[in-house]
Amino acid sequence: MSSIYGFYGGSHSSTVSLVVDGKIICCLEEERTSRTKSGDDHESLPLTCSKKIEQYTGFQIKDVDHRIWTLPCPDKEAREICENAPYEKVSHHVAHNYGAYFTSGFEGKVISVSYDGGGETSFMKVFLCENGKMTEVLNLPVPYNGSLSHLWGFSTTTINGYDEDFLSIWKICKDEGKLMGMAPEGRYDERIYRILNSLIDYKDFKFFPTNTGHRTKFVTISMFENGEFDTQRKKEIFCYNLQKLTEDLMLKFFSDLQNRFPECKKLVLSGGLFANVKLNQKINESGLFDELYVYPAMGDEGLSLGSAIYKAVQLGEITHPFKMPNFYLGTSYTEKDIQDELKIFNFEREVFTPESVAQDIFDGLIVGTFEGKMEFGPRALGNRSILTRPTEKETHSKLNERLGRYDTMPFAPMILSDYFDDVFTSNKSKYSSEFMTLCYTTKDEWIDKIPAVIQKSDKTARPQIVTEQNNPMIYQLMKRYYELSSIPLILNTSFNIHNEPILEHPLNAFEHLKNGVIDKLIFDGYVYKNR
Amino acid sequence: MFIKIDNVLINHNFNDGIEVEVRGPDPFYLVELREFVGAEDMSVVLESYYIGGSKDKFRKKFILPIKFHIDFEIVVYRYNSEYGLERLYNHRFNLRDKLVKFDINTENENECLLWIESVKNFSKKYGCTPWVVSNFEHINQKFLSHFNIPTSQVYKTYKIGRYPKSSNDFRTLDRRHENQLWFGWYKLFWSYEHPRDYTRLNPQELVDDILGFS
Repeated sequence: MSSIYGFYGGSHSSTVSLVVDGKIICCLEEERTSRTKSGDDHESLPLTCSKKIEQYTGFQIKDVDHRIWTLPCPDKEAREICENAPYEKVSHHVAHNYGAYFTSGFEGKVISVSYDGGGETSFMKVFLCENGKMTEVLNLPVPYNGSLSHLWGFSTTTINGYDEDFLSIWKICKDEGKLMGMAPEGRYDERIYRILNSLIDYKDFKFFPTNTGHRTKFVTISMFENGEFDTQRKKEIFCYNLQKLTEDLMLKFFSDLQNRFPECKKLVLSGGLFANVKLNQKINESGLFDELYVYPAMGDEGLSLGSAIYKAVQLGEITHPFKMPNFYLGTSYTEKDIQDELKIFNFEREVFTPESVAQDIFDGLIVGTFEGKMEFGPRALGNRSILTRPTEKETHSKLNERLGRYDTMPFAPMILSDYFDDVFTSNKSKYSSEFMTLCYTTKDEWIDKIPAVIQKSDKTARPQIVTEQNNPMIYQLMKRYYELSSIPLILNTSFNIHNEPILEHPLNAFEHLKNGVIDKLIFDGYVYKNR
Repeated sequence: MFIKIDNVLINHNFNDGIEVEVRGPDPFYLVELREFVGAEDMSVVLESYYIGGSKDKFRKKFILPIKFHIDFEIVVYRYNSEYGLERLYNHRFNLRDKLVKFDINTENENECLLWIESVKNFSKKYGCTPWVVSNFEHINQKFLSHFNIPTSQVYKTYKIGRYPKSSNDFRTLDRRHENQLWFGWYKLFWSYEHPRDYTRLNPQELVDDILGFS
């Protein structure tokens, strides 16, 4: 049995992952430890996270049995990080697909699809999978294809304008979600749709024309100069059509895929495009597949784990897809780790009980959680989260103000698993929704009860299903909140302020408590508040 | 010489790399340099830039200083507010019946003669008229004379020699392709003068590289 470090670096979303004897031990993103958001550093390397993971797990990179980097690989820096110990390399989209398929838990015939803005030399790879065997059946090389991810990325850099140095205010690989959040507020516009369609189309397993990135940049800059983004309404209409075109083309693609491989009724998705939870909802509800799983670390941050899993599969230490009990794969801290620093803050504290915190949430307080291991991937799933009640419409602006954010998307709800079918119209792909990777349509009777977590214009929400198994503390807390409110949901957003990565170290959490970003903080079995 | 299309002036020049200049009333123009790879009819984008028309803050010229042979086309687009991208101009690189200059930079006469054999083969293959300029006047005289040639008629210039990397040859900041020029997600070049490191090539391989025979 072996120890394997997987790496991804040299671009945005650098990460490192450790797999030992076929078990996932730890996964860390560079942005969490360097405190620079990955979208702000497109040449990042897994430097600080590599040090942290060695310290945290005790496994030294140079001493493990295998090191494997995802392509494209920054060799000079890879040699330094590995301290000249040998390392292997694996294809970018192979790593995406291995990470996704093997954590899907899907048995039988499965299709695995990765799609992004260009990894190594491809935009997409498709694998047919069965009983732990993966066979590549489609590859879309960059020079001969376009990418919807480029359409999103380069629209993002233009739509909100530029600073005085002509640097975009919204960033590629960082702010695309803001466009997705605006989309439901817009409407169909034949001209905008046609313009976007001139940049990308799909037929017969090809996305075309090529050069989507530069062409999108050119067209959207021209639109910007023409005043076509000078009101919020115009932006919303653009985003609506961008989302609609994305859904239309991808549903054609998945329909073709299903026609070619009708025996495969389970679908696994990875790659940055599938951070788009509205697109994932359309695919989930299209009827083309019985079940969908979106890799929780769907972007390039998931590549280090994918590459380590690839190696473990090669070694025969992982043989079949398995279900992840949760995606809490990062670092954890206890009070002992920061006891000296804590004395300086002089907070009040009491022992955590689900009842008291449920009452706080019921009363409208904003509670931060820093409990257990940090999540891996872009979503906070309760361990590095900010929680509050979902019942007030005003919560959206209140939270944005506290966090200094400009979030157009509504905040997401956590929901007790037993009540999912009561609140949402579809009940497909629930395993994937333990990781908040899909939107669902909310039943009419719930819309006015939980306005802070619903996008009212299309009635959707992006729920995280909480079970007693995947997060016992949050489950108990929600049960008590339900007893008080008859609401089986609470609002959950990531624990970070504007332009800050999700918290990795508890002292950052205590700073936010001190500064009034949150009213209370749950940490290591206690609830802290300012005196 | 500028070509005028729909109030837009376009000029291209292939004598010091590939240059395209566009002047017109639109705020921006998009220029794509598309390469024909292998025997395929479909070209793929090697590089593209948006350049300023009426917008002063943007450069007016597309410049890609690749000096060795590639088979390419240039496409210029403008933004059409009804339809999006509008193709304004297309030029397919074509040497047939064109005057082509070959700057041969070596002090070794035998090497010069070896390279001239490749120039002859190249000219025959593409049907162009060669103008050879080397350090050996008696060799030059076997080709067209300097004095008879209006330089403005030279369609393309190839520089055959050994050119060290310059600071401009580190265009890509991508550390994953360190010390290489990375284009179009499919092509790595050693420098703008040499597709591959000339220090590892013999004289025949070197000229074949520059003239696209390798």
